[in-house]
Amino acid sequence: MCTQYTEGGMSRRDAQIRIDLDSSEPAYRQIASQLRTLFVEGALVPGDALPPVRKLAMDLAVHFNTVAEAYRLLAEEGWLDVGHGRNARVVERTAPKPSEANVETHRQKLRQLIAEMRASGVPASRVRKELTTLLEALES
Amino acid sequence: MKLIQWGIFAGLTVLIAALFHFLPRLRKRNLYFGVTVAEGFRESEEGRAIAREFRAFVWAGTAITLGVLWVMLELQQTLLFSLAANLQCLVGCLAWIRAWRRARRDAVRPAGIRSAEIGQASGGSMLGLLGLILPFLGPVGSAAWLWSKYSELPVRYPVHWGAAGHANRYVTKSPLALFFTPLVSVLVLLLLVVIVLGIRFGTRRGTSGERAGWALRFRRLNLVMLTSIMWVASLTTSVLSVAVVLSSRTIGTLMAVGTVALLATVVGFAVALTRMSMEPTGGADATPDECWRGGMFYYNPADPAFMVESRDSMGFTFNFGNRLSWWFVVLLLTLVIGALLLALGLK
Repeated sequence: MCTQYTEGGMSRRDAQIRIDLDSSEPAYRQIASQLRTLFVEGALVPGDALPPVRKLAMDLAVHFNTVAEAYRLLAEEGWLDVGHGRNARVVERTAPKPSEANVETHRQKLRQLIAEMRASGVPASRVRKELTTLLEALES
Repeated sequence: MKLIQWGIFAGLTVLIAALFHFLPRLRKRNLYFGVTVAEGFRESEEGRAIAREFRAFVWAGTAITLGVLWVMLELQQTLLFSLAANLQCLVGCLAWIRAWRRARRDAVRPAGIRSAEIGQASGGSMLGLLGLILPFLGPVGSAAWLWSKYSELPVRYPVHWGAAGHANRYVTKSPLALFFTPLVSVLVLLLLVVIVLGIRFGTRRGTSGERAGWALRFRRLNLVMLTSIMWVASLTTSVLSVAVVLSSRTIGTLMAVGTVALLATVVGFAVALTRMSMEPTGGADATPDECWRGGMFYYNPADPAFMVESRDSMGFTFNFGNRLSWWFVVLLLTLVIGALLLALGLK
């Protein structure tokens, strides 16, 4: 009786997304961003089905369109297969070859993020530790 | 006899007044009259003043109701007597709305953090499904039994008994008269099933942190309560359905046991839900204050939830911004009016 959104009996109980409606970033972008993180970190793998738009919207107390827009964005990026009448499914995605300009853009973002952490009082050793942990999780 | 009748209603009226009296204290810690407030607001000068005013209205309404009930009893106005019994609840609701308006001045904005599990689906267990289906066997079984004994049943039999246990209303045997109680029972059970399914599949699975666990426990307890009510209601109405072949004394005893069982079930769960509501982690859910009308009715078309945690009681309430809720109201009204019309057709 108990159904899982994932296939093959796999349960992704630790996969959780968290949004802040008071943030200046639109809710659909926050949802997309957090799901993308779960895909990259392997918490959700190709073949896994995402919750129906209605269910996720209800749990997050946002409009259906907000979740639908996030799924659409991820589908455009190649992460999801969204078809009518069935749950969105994670698909195998070939990462595009990054251009130098693209890498530079992200480097700037990382620098800004690290500067924000340092400015808010996080010591350099802690920043290094956090980055190492994230990289290790990504590689494993 | 008149004094006993008044005494029973007066006792119930005072009990309801006491519930209203303690209602502000029995709610979630960051909710006050359905408004999200700061943690210590209810102990503040303004918080206490709101509660004092609310209670003054409630007790004044109670005193008026008791007086009106006595006058109606003296005038032997049965219909007006029944209507007067609702006067207190009306006054209580108006007092609540007044307190809600006043508390809104000190409302704080709820946190905008929302979270959701991605991999955990909401399914149902076989046990839960059986818990919903089996209560229907009571009215259906009693109806089948009545049908098999139809020719042996008396032509005229009692269907209503007074407080002293004496039958005071009779009907002539007919399929409608015999199957009326099982039919109403099935309809009531169906309504309860809709509410159970609404809570199971049409509410949030919980938000983040400590509250996630609390929300799941709260939801589970509500589901167990509703399922238990279904079972007790099924047993009680099944006995009532076959009352035609029972002696007045047996019916009186069984109905008393059924009523006590139903009350014990409701009170027991209400106490458990109240205690749970007062736990430190039982904060407000993700519903915006501005979508609560009068602190009682939730109307938010942007929220896909069919039901949400209630702010004026211990359970769940409908999101009237969801079209399904209006269909439920239509269904409820149809069933109530239909049952009344059928009852009027019995002679």
